Amino acid sequence: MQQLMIQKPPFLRSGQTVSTMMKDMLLTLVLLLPLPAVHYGTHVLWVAAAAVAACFVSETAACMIAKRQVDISELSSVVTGLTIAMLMPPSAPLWLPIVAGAFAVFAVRVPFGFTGNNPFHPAAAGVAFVTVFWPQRVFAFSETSAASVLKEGLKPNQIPSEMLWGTEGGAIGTTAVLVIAACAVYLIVKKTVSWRITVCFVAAAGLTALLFPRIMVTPLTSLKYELLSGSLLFCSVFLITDPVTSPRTHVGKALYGALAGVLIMLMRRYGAFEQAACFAVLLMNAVSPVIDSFVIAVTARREARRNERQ
Amino acid sequence: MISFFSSGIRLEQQKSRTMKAKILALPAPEVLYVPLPGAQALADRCVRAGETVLRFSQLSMPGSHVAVTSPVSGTVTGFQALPHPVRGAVECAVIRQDGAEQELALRAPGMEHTPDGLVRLAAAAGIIDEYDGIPLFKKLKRLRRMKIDWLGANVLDDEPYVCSGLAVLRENPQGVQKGLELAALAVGAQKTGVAVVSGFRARSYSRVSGRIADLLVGSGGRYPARPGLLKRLRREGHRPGLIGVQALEAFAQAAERGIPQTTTVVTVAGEGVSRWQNLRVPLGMPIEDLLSACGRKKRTAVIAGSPITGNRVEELCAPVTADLRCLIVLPEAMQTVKVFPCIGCGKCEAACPVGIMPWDIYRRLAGQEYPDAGQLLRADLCCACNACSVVCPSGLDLSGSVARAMEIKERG
Repeated sequence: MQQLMIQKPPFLRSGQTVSTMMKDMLLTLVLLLPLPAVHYGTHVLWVAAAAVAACFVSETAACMIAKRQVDISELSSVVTGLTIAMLMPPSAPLWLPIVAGAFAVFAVRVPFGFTGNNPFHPAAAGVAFVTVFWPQRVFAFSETSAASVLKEGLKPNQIPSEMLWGTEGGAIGTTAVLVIAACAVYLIVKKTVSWRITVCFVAAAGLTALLFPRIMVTPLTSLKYELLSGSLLFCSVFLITDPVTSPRTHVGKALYGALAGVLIMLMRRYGAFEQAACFAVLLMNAVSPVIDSFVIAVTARREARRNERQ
Repeated sequence: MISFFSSGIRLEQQKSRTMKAKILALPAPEVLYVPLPGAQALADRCVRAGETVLRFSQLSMPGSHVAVTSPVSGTVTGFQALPHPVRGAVECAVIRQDGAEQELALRAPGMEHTPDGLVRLAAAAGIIDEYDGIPLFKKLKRLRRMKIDWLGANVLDDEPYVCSGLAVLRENPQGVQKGLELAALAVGAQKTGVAVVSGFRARSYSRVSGRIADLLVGSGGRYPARPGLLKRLRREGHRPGLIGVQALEAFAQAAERGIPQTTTVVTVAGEGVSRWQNLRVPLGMPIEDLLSACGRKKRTAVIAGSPITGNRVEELCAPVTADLRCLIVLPEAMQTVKVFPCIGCGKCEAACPVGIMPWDIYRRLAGQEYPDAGQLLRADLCCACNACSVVCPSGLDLSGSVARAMEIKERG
């Protein structure tokens, strides 16, 4: 809904503000919760609550220390908390998301100046932090996940169509592929996330899976297993699309998505962990300003050439 | 998929409520403040204080601007500089109506329609393009110099609420068509068209049919419509030019009956008025008279022009000028813009019709007193449509930054 206001020109605003974008993210993240809550039990709700509470309390404390006004309407710390919860195993002890959330806020959000300034994705950094320290706990799934079987170079027991419904082993928010796809459509239509990043990310990861299968199956089967296992699709919608840490130019966004897609597949093949999304996102975050500068430099050169011609 | 790739923004139009009724012609008030553009010098004025004028008597005839005629018969009581929401201040002739409603007998100019004759007619009839405030005769000369071959009637009411152009097209399609043909003759254009934001919407609002309906050219339904439409026409191999629909209607009247332009159509809309209407008012009518005719509520603010590029009217005694297309009235206590830091969503870049990266310019200008002009990419192409500021979720003043960058670039 567009709004009119009399403060200063333009008197008409599109109605989409940072807080409505955060609300959209929050809504879609909450929609990911019911399926695991039914399948794995209500403990996942406690995990989510712990992660959100940890982020919110840390943010408030940090605001008080920095003598900043506490702004509740801007929900980015809650979104960070819920994103962390989605990447936790269903049976995670409650301290795990709390540690991840506190690290995300105190080490990644606050030192760089709160919302809009953090160079790294806070949720990805929080999850990466706990993954490095407690890998057994982070990958303690009730059932063997397809990602871990693929990591060992074997073919998973499930057929790909069984992996759509959120009943397989995996992190809380990453297994219900159909719900994630619906959320992606919602977020892209509402223009909360950039379709360029998501599409290029999935396309690049899919192409890599098609061309270089990890296990001895047909390329198409490899594609299905790679896209449906682990946190790849969740990452493509919720992690890699974060506007603050991704490039701002259109071309840069497409390039960023494609590079991240290839990087996550490389990490799956050669990395130490079965879920590499967080590390891929963090590495790409570091490159994103460089991508932007590159695109801007190319544009500047083209403009200079245009000016010369005139 | 088109909306994912094309630039500009999609806005709710909010025109149907205004377009329900016909254009309402308001009678002239007792005292009019007729603006005399370009007639600051005494020598440019044709009347003195105390003189009696008839309707259509000439008030001013400057060399570089249009001639202005009186919309009513009455007495010129003096000259006064009045505040104007767009131009700062305008010199006005104050005319007190005598109620006699006497007018000069006018005849159709009995000349053949030659390009030069038509340009002179546009100057003598005091016609001003309502979209940019440029006199029609200057525009015709410029378009002829540019050797355009496609001339369009500008009905691009792409901003929400504004629909004065569509209303004129609905009520007088023949006049618009006639004016368009004459203007095409004056500039030497072979092809003509009627530029609208969306052909479908124009058909449903304006109910045009027949020959003029075939001329409709839609621009894709986004704001701003003009740059995209011109780009498309150029790609199709045309050299396009646009002239405002009200100016064309007045041009046809001037050629057929010799009547100069003394009225204009203004849309009055917004939550602060009870009746949303298109009004035909004489030039020089104080803005407050228009508002009271539409039932202005208490504690309201008035925006002149459009909700996107317009300005707030501080003094309501300001007169109506030919380039005023819309007045928007809002309650004083409307929402305030909450400002967040830039989150890097890139929406401004997607909205920009000329390919500027407003976020980049904003970042480069923030905290820098002397930024490098070479790094302010494409800022000189800005068309001041304000789309970047409208779409910014952080509520930043991006258009202000780009305007500053443009200035820095021009200064070198």
